[in-house]
Amino acid sequence: MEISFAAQPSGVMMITLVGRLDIQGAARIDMQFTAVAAGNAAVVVDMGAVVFMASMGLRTLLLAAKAMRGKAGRMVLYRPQAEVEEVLVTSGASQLMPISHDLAEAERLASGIVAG
Amino acid sequence: MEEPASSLVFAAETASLPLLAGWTETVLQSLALVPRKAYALELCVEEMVANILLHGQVAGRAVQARVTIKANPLRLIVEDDGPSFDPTLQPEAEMAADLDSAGIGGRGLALVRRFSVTMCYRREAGWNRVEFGLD
Repeated sequence: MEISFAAQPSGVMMITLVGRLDIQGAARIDMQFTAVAAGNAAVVVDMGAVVFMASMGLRTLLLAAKAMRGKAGRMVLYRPQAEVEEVLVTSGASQLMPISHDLAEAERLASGIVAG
Repeated sequence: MEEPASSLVFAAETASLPLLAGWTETVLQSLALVPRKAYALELCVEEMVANILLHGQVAGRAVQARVTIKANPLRLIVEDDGPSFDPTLQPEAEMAADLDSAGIGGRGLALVRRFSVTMCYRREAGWNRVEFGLD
Protein backbone atom coordinates (compact mmCIF):
# COMPACT_ATOMS: atom_id res chain seq x y z
CA MET A 1 0.00 0.00 0.00
CA GLU A 2 1.46 3.34 -1.09
CA ILE A 3 0.29 6.80 -0.05
CA SER A 4 1.20 10.16 -1.60
CA PHE A 5 -0.34 13.58 -1.43
CA ALA A 6 -0.24 16.85 -3.35
CA ALA A 7 -2.02 20.19 -2.93
CA GLN A 8 -4.12 21.04 -6.00
CA PRO A 9 -4.44 24.53 -7.58
CA SER A 10 -8.04 24.53 -6.27
CA GLY A 11 -6.70 24.38 -2.70
CA VAL A 12 -7.92 20.83 -2.26
CA MET A 13 -5.44 18.28 -0.87
CA MET A 14 -5.31 15.18 -3.08
CA ILE A 15 -4.33 11.97 -1.30
CA THR A 16 -3.52 9.10 -3.67
CA LEU A 17 -3.68 5.51 -2.45
CA VAL A 18 -2.19 2.67 -4.50
CA GLY A 19 -2.46 -1.07 -3.80
CA ARG A 20 -4.32 -3.21 -1.30
CA LEU A 21 -6.07 -1.43 1.59
CA ASP A 22 -6.29 -4.70 3.53
CA ILE A 23 -5.39 -5.25 7.22
CA GLN A 24 -1.67 -4.81 6.52
CA GLY A 25 -2.15 -1.93 4.08
CA ALA A 26 -4.42 -0.08 6.51
CA ALA A 27 -1.91 -0.50 9.34
CA ARG A 28 0.84 0.87 7.09
CA ILE A 29 -0.91 4.14 6.17
CA ASP A 30 -3.31 4.81 9.10
CA MET A 31 -1.24 7.42 10.93
CA GLN A 32 0.01 9.36 7.92
CA PHE A 33 -3.39 9.31 6.22
CA THR A 34 -5.21 10.62 9.29
CA ALA A 35 -2.53 13.26 9.92
CA VAL A 36 -2.71 14.65 6.36
CA ALA A 37 -6.53 14.62 6.35
CA ALA A 38 -6.74 16.31 9.75
CA GLY A 39 -4.38 19.06 8.60
CA ASN A 40 -6.55 20.03 5.62
CA ALA A 41 -10.03 21.48 5.24
CA ALA A 42 -10.84 19.83 1.91
CA VAL A 43 -9.53 16.41 0.84
CA VAL A 44 -10.06 14.29 -2.26
CA VAL A 45 -8.87 10.68 -1.94
CA ASP A 46 -7.93 9.15 -5.30
CA MET A 47 -9.08 5.52 -4.86
CA GLY A 48 -8.61 4.57 -8.53
CA ALA A 49 -5.61 2.31 -7.88
CA VAL A 50 -6.96 0.68 -4.71
CA VAL A 51 -7.51 -2.93 -5.82
CA PHE A 52 -8.91 -4.28 -2.54
CA MET A 53 -10.57 -2.85 0.54
CA ALA A 54 -12.67 -4.42 3.30
CA SER A 55 -13.76 -3.23 6.75
CA MET A 56 -10.27 -2.47 8.08
CA GLY A 57 -9.73 -0.14 5.13
CA LEU A 58 -13.12 1.46 5.73
CA ARG A 59 -11.99 2.07 9.30
CA THR A 60 -8.92 3.95 8.01
CA LEU A 61 -11.09 6.20 5.80
CA LEU A 62 -13.65 6.86 8.56
CA LEU A 63 -10.96 7.67 11.14
CA ALA A 64 -9.51 10.29 8.81
CA ALA A 65 -12.93 11.70 7.84
CA LYS A 66 -13.83 12.01 11.52
CA ALA A 67 -10.56 13.84 12.16
CA MET A 68 -11.70 16.48 9.60
CA ARG A 69 -15.14 17.09 11.10
CA GLY A 70 -15.97 20.61 12.17
CA LYS A 71 -14.20 22.08 9.14
CA ALA A 72 -15.83 23.79 6.19
CA GLY A 73 -14.76 21.12 3.74
CA ARG A 74 -14.77 17.34 3.84
CA MET A 75 -13.32 14.13 2.46
CA VAL A 76 -14.51 12.95 -0.96
CA LEU A 77 -13.64 9.57 -2.47
CA TYR A 78 -12.68 9.82 -6.14
CA ARG A 79 -13.13 7.05 -8.76
CA PRO A 80 -13.18 3.86 -6.64
CA GLN A 81 -13.13 0.58 -8.61
CA ALA A 82 -16.44 -1.31 -8.84
CA GLU A 83 -16.00 -3.75 -5.94
CA VAL A 84 -14.43 -1.10 -3.70
CA GLU A 85 -17.43 1.15 -4.41
CA GLU A 86 -19.74 -1.77 -3.56
CA VAL A 87 -17.99 -2.04 -0.16
CA LEU A 88 -18.41 1.72 0.42
CA VAL A 89 -22.12 1.65 -0.48
CA THR A 90 -22.98 -1.63 1.33
CA SER A 91 -21.37 -0.43 4.55
CA GLY A 92 -23.17 2.92 4.43
CA ALA A 93 -19.82 4.72 4.39
CA SER A 94 -20.71 6.49 1.12
CA GLN A 95 -23.42 8.39 3.04
CA LEU A 96 -20.69 9.91 5.21
CA MET A 97 -18.00 10.33 2.54
CA PRO A 98 -19.37 11.24 -0.91
CA ILE A 99 -18.14 9.30 -3.96
CA SER A 100 -17.46 11.01 -7.27
CA HIS A 101 -16.05 9.75 -10.56
CA ASP A 102 -15.53 13.29 -11.84
CA LEU A 103 -12.48 15.17 -10.53
CA ALA A 104 -13.96 18.68 -10.84
CA GLU A 105 -17.10 17.55 -9.00
CA ALA A 106 -15.01 15.78 -6.34
CA GLU A 107 -13.05 19.01 -5.71
CA ARG A 108 -16.27 21.05 -5.49
CA LEU A 109 -17.80 18.59 -3.03
CA ALA A 110 -14.62 18.52 -0.95
CA SER A 111 -14.49 22.32 -0.80
CA GLY A 112 -18.08 22.49 0.39
CA ILE A 113 -19.16 24.39 -2.71
CA VAL A 114 -22.77 23.57 -3.60
CA ALA A 115 -22.99 22.57 -7.26
CA GLY A 116 -24.96 24.97 -9.43
CA MET B 1 -16.34 -35.13 -8.93
CA GLU B 2 -15.33 -32.68 -6.24
CA GLU B 3 -12.02 -30.97 -6.82
CA PRO B 4 -9.27 -31.16 -4.18
CA ALA B 5 -9.16 -28.39 -1.60
CA SER B 6 -6.31 -26.01 -0.76
CA SER B 7 -5.74 -25.47 2.94
CA LEU B 8 -3.45 -23.33 5.10
CA VAL B 9 -2.95 -23.68 8.86
CA PHE B 10 -1.40 -20.74 10.71
CA ALA B 11 -1.06 -19.11 14.13
CA ALA B 12 -3.82 -16.51 14.59
CA GLU B 13 -1.55 -13.48 14.92
CA THR B 14 -0.70 -10.48 12.75
CA ALA B 15 2.74 -11.96 11.95
CA SER B 16 0.93 -14.66 9.91
CA LEU B 17 -0.78 -12.14 7.60
CA PRO B 18 1.95 -11.99 4.91
CA LEU B 19 1.94 -15.81 4.70
CA LEU B 20 -1.85 -15.86 4.40
CA ALA B 21 -1.84 -13.08 1.77
CA GLY B 22 0.75 -14.90 -0.36
CA TRP B 23 -1.09 -18.22 -0.10
CA THR B 24 -4.47 -16.63 -0.97
CA GLU B 25 -2.96 -14.93 -4.02
CA THR B 26 -1.48 -18.22 -5.27
CA VAL B 27 -4.81 -20.06 -4.84
CA LEU B 28 -6.71 -17.24 -6.57
CA GLN B 29 -4.34 -17.37 -9.55
CA SER B 30 -4.88 -21.11 -9.91
CA LEU B 31 -8.67 -20.70 -9.81
CA ALA B 32 -8.84 -17.91 -12.44
CA LEU B 33 -12.10 -16.51 -11.07
CA VAL B 34 -14.05 -13.55 -12.46
CA PRO B 35 -12.99 -10.36 -10.63
CA ARG B 36 -16.04 -10.02 -8.39
CA LYS B 37 -15.82 -13.62 -7.21
CA ALA B 38 -12.10 -13.31 -6.48
CA TYR B 39 -12.88 -10.11 -4.54
CA ALA B 40 -15.67 -11.85 -2.60
CA LEU B 41 -13.33 -14.68 -1.62
CA GLU B 42 -10.59 -12.29 -0.47
CA LEU B 43 -13.09 -10.16 1.42
CA CYS B 44 -14.53 -13.14 3.33
CA VAL B 45 -11.00 -14.38 4.18
CA GLU B 46 -9.97 -10.92 5.42
CA GLU B 47 -13.09 -10.29 7.51
CA MET B 48 -13.04 -13.69 9.17
CA VAL B 49 -9.31 -13.54 9.94
CA ALA B 50 -9.63 -9.95 11.25
CA ASN B 51 -12.41 -11.21 13.50
CA ILE B 52 -10.24 -14.02 14.86
CA LEU B 53 -7.34 -11.61 15.45
CA LEU B 54 -9.58 -9.10 17.24
CA HIS B 55 -11.82 -11.38 19.29
CA GLY B 56 -10.34 -14.86 19.28
CA GLN B 57 -7.32 -14.49 21.52
CA VAL B 58 -6.83 -16.79 24.49
CA ALA B 59 -4.40 -16.02 27.34
CA GLY B 60 -1.54 -18.48 27.61
CA ARG B 61 -1.71 -20.20 24.25
CA ALA B 62 -1.57 -19.46 20.52
CA VAL B 63 -4.88 -19.78 18.71
CA GLN B 64 -4.65 -21.83 15.52
CA ALA B 65 -6.57 -20.96 12.37
CA ARG B 66 -7.19 -22.85 9.14
CA VAL B 67 -8.41 -21.46 5.83
CA THR B 68 -9.66 -23.88 3.17
CA ILE B 69 -10.74 -23.04 -0.37
CA LYS B 70 -12.67 -25.53 -2.51
CA ALA B 71 -13.68 -25.12 -6.14
CA ASN B 72 -16.73 -26.30 -8.11
CA PRO B 73 -18.75 -24.98 -6.41
CA LEU B 74 -16.56 -22.30 -4.85
CA ARG B 75 -16.49 -22.51 -1.04
CA LEU B 76 -14.42 -20.96 1.72
CA ILE B 77 -14.06 -22.54 5.16
CA VAL B 78 -12.44 -20.55 7.99
CA GLU B 79 -11.77 -22.38 11.26
CA ASP B 80 -10.14 -21.48 14.57
CA ASP B 81 -9.73 -23.08 17.97
CA GLY B 82 -10.40 -19.85 19.89
CA PRO B 83 -13.45 -19.11 22.05
CA SER B 84 -16.85 -20.11 20.67
CA PHE B 85 -18.10 -17.36 18.36
CA ASP B 86 -20.99 -17.55 15.90
CA PRO B 87 -20.74 -14.60 13.46
CA THR B 88 -24.10 -15.47 11.91
CA LEU B 89 -25.80 -14.47 15.19
CA GLN B 90 -24.13 -11.05 15.47
CA PRO B 91 -26.24 -7.97 14.71
CA GLU B 92 -25.04 -5.76 11.86
CA ALA B 93 -23.72 -2.37 12.86
CA GLU B 94 -25.96 0.47 11.71
CA MET B 95 -24.13 3.25 9.86
CA ALA B 96 -24.69 6.52 11.67
CA ALA B 97 -26.29 9.45 9.88
CA ASP B 98 -23.31 11.72 10.43
CA LEU B 99 -19.57 11.48 11.06
CA ASP B 100 -19.79 12.79 14.62
CA SER B 101 -21.75 9.76 15.77
CA ALA B 102 -20.29 7.22 13.35
CA GLY B 103 -18.51 4.27 14.91
CA ILE B 104 -15.45 3.02 13.10
CA GLY B 105 -15.90 -0.75 13.35
CA GLY B 106 -18.50 -3.46 12.94
CA ARG B 107 -19.01 -3.30 9.16
CA GLY B 108 -17.42 -6.65 8.35
CA LEU B 109 -20.51 -8.77 8.84
CA ALA B 110 -22.65 -6.69 6.46
CA LEU B 111 -19.89 -7.04 3.85
CA VAL B 112 -19.51 -10.84 4.06
CA ARG B 113 -23.31 -11.17 3.87
CA ARG B 114 -23.35 -8.99 0.77
CA PHE B 115 -20.46 -10.73 -1.04
CA SER B 116 -21.23 -14.38 -0.14
CA VAL B 117 -24.20 -16.52 -1.20
CA THR B 118 -24.45 -18.67 1.94
CA MET B 119 -22.82 -18.54 5.37
CA CYS B 120 -23.03 -21.37 7.92
CA TYR B 121 -21.49 -21.73 11.37
CA ARG B 122 -20.89 -24.70 13.58
CA ARG B 123 -18.79 -25.47 16.66
CA GLU B 124 -16.98 -28.76 16.23
CA ALA B 125 -14.52 -30.42 18.65
CA GLY B 126 -13.41 -27.08 20.10
CA TRP B 127 -13.15 -25.31 16.74
CA ASN B 128 -15.29 -22.56 15.22
CA ARG B 129 -16.11 -23.41 11.62
CA VAL B 130 -17.61 -20.86 9.22
CA GLU B 131 -18.37 -22.03 5.69
CA PHE B 132 -19.21 -19.64 2.86
CA GLY B 133 -20.81 -20.62 -0.42
CA LEU B 134 -19.57 -18.25 -3.11
CA ASP B 135 -21.13 -19.66 -6.31
